[in-house]
Amino acid sequence: MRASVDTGGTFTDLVLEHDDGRFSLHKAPTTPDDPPTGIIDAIDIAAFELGLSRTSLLSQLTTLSHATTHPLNALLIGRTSRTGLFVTEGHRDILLLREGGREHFNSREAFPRPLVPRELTFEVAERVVRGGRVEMPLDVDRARDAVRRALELGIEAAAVVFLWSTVNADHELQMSEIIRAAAPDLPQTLSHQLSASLREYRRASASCIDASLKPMMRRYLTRLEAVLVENSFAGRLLIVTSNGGLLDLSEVIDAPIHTIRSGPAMAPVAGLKVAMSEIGGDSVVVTDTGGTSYDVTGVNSGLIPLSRETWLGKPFHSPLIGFPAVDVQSSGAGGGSIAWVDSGGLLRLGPMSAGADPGPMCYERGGEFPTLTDACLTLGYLEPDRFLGGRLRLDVQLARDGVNDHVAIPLGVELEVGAAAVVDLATAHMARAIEDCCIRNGLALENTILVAGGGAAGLNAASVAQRVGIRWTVIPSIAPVLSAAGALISPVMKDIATSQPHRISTLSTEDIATIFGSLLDRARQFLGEVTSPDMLSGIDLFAEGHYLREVWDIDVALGPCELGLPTADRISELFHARHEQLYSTKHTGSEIEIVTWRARAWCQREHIELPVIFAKPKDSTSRRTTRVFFAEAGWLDCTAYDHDEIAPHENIVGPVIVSSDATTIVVPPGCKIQKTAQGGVIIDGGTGER
Amino acid sequence: MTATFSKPVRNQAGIQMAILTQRFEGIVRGMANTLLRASRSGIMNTAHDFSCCVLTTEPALLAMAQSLPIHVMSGPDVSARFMSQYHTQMRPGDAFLHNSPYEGNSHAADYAVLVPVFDDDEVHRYTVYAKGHMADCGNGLPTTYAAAARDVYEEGALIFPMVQIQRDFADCEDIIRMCEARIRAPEQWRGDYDALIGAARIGERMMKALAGDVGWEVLDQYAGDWLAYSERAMTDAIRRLPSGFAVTKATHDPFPGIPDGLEVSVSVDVDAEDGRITVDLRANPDCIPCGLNLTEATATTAAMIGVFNALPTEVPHNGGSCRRITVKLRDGCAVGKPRHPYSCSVATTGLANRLGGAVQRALADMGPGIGMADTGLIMNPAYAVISGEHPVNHEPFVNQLMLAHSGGAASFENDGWLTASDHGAGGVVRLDSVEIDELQYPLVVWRREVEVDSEAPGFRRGAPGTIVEYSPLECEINLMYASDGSINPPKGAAGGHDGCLAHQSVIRSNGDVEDLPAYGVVTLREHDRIVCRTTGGGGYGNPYEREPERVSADVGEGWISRERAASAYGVVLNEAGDVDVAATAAGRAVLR
Repeated sequence: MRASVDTGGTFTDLVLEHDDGRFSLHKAPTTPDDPPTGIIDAIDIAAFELGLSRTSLLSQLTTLSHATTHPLNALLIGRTSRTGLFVTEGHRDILLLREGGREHFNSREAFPRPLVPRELTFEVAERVVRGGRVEMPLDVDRARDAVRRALELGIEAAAVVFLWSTVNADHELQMSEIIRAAAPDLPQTLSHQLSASLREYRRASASCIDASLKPMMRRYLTRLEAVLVENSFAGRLLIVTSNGGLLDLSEVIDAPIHTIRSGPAMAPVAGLKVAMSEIGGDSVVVTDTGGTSYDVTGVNSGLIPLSRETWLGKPFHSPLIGFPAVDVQSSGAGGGSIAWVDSGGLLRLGPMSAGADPGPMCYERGGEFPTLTDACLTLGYLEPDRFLGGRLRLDVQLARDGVNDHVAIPLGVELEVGAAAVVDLATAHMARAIEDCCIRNGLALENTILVAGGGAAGLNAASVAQRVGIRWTVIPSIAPVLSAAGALISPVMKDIATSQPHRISTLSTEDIATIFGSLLDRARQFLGEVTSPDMLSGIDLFAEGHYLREVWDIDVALGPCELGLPTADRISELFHARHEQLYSTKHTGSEIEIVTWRARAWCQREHIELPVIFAKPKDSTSRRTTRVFFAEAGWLDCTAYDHDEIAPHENIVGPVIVSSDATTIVVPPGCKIQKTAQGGVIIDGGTGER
Repeated sequence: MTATFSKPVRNQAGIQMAILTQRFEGIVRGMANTLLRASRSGIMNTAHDFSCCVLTTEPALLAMAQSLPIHVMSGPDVSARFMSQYHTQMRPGDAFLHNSPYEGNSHAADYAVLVPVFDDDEVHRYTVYAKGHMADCGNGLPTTYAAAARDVYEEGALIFPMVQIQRDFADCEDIIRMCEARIRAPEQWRGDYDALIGAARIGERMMKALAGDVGWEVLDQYAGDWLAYSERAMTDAIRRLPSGFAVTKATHDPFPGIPDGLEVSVSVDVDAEDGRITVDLRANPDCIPCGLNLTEATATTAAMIGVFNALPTEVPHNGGSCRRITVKLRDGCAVGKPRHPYSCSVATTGLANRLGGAVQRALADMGPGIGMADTGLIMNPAYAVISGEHPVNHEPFVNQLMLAHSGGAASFENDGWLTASDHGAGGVVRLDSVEIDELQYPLVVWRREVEVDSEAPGFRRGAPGTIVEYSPLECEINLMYASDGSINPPKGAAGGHDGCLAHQSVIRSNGDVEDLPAYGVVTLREHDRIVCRTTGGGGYGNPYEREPERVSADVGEGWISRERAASAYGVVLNEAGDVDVAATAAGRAVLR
């Protein structure tokens, strides 16, 4: 048996893959003060539901994959270790100045504080320049002095970020020795070891985040492992990383920044698998609707995009993480987003959110303002007695009153029209997020599949798809736990990179062999440590670069290394093709500069099945008629189905409602659906007018 | 499937507005994303010196992406008027290239591409507009800021007064060849041009798709409603200000063509009852024989930015809200409508920053808690246009650096935003990465940091200055800059102090230090080192009223020294760095 556990902000999701190939889902509340407790709670719930004891369940697990928001939360609330930053002399304000920029010229917000205060930033006399040449040797005496002052100020971790260290690491290594001599046990992060990227701010940000998490993540992960082992777990504990893979505990303890985006990284992994298994397409937009946000990732031709431009919090008011993570763009339109009408009579959705607590008004937990969920309930999209399999009864009257008082009356419209407008506005927000994402990733909407995840995904996924012109939408059975399911199917994986700027035209076959040679050595060593005999493994090659004078690098897949190293001509060809795919233009006459070279080593089990979670069979059929309001048609009588009573491949034409324990799918008039053998619902929005 | 969803019936503007505003934002963001990713020069793709918007046929600015404010508040509308005037037979597939400072553009280095969007009956419905700052525009000297040019002839920029650049969606290659023959680094220019066209065409496509969804009539209804909503929001915001009238002055440093500097005067009239603000710029000197003359677009926009900085962020920036601001300009005035052939090469920064700051200070004079100090001034060697031949590949290069800026002005609510740059950029522009600059150009950047004790004291303090030092690496480089703020500082408001001055010098390889003038063309040899300080922003309010905890936090963070805390703010700190409450109160009682 295998397990994945995703510690989210509100719930800890546990997905089990049983030895007979079936999957089951179990949930427990997250315990933010001691996350391992929430994990054990989820295991206890699963054990109870399966009629097992905690230890017997744990002893049956061969692997446990774990994603967590714990480190991200620690950073956001400032509960990380006191970190000292050592930088090249003259550049102490890397973290303060960042890369400039802000969203609006007349924003009223205060300038953000740096990740590490200036007081704990120490300059070291040294300088490496372009090409890795040492222009000024490291001044050892002054470096020792800086370390002494830092230790006096009580630093608990150190980050070392010297300019051009990715090309010549000598000074960072020398500095590391100096720190170790003074404080042998002080956790350190050297920027060149963490990130092979030029752009000193991003490397500095990533290094400081990493260093500041080290003490805490070591404590957390070793405690988690101990708790599991105490309870008879003898399998392999794997940690989900920001690049969409898994790593063993020790690797993550050495570089905890890998976990910073572990939650969102898995949804695209699962979404791509869904699109490939259910429809056979690899250009896909994967969305995840949460209580407060809507996450979107665009996967072009099967390549899950990485980005170094992910903000820790609010854009321009928080640090850039600066470390490659699956490119997930969040926008603030979730089920808990609050709908209101401003003084000028304009309908608004968010940015305020009722979140999970107090939640929407209809939860009866004291929510005072109507949310997207309340609007959906008002329209009959949600059935009050069947929400989450009947575990939470929704109060329709509270929702209707809220939408009426705060939306319909101020707008001067009927209640239903107001509620429909709220859903429509949410759809517009989401459609915009998808369009943005498609432009960034060069996806043509007409050839793209939408995979909608999150418990609330089905409420308007069909409308979102229609709005942007996507024909096929899949709502998989794992929609409510896309991240946890992704963790069950993703490979153990590590990106090993080096920053060596080269122009393609001057690159010889020997140069390419030299660059990749050392990367492949490291990749093979990694695979030797992590691969077991029953696993498949491989190494894929990538190059990140730009046309001369472009400054934003694009990521080009060069194929598996088994096919041999690419020639310079082949790299050019692939680069032009990728550039065209992303930006619709290529400049075949232009010089290409490759800055970063990467080998991605991965291994995984031979057969990876799409996780499928079947609803528990009901005692009796419950096909029923319910009243649902659609903006264009008014109130309609709709058939409402339970998900499990629809036969695979049965064609059903909207308007209908399909609900299961975890999700509700609203199929508007004109759309068709089919359930697949794997339990997913495919919505065909047609190819007619958008 | 059937077209069941295409035309929802709604009566209430608040719903339609909300949804269509999302869609218009999607369009301008789509344009901006295209421009950002596909452009070649650092000034566009790194510094974000570009803008994208959609205009009605009125023409009024309807929607804009996160843009450089000095590009868009006013200007696109004036330009679009000339498009209709010069091209009476426009049709689908047309695109127009525009950079004329005499016909609504900001300055000659900003190339705008305008594409009229037509319905199926070939009726012109909207105009999409993409503008970016080119790394070179064919000036006589390798800079896009020809501050010393006596006129447009000496400036040398190619001027395109709304010239047709595409017909039937294909480039007019004659014009492209002209540009390639006269613009430095033509390949880079071509890439930037392609990005502008690409952005405009994406905008056109998305506009047509939107109209296909909802119909042109609905869009027109929306445009009217949205502009009216924005105007209402603006009126309400102005009504919350006190009525008043103030005249303020500002002085630009001496430059070629203005040996004594240039004083400009701004009168601001707030009519709260009517919900209107009038800025009169007419009582100012005639055009001057250098590149500092403002254009109609930049004079108007600089004043508008100053006004918006006094208002709540929620007021949308578009043609509707701008209807409540009247900016009075005079023909042939240095800060008005320029007369050909006077040069406007530096029209987006120099005098625009000065008059914008004066508007903010005039508003600060209207009553407590209103307005802002002066934002900082730029264009010193941290922003130099550098050129030369790369020692490794022997290729020529030219581009503008954006190594450092600070300059945030204080307001009643906030300390100055550290990376505000200047009035016209409002902090939207980015800073270069040192490593990327060094990768692309033969440079070593030795220092880039905030200067301690250079902030402007106030109840809220202005941003401190930043210091930058750099040298060429294994070659010579030429740099051109046009720095304001070495003599006349950015001014404080409501009792706040002035921001720190800019300064520039060069340390030659033999150790000689040469102070550099405000405007310069300098050749740096290997081991020479430029040292420059950017201006800070002005402070706001009485520094002795600043909360002592904020002062001690500034000391703790190394922005100011303990001595400065005592002398400038009257705040005494004890050994541990905490506020000595009694000593502070006693000292402040005397100082106040």
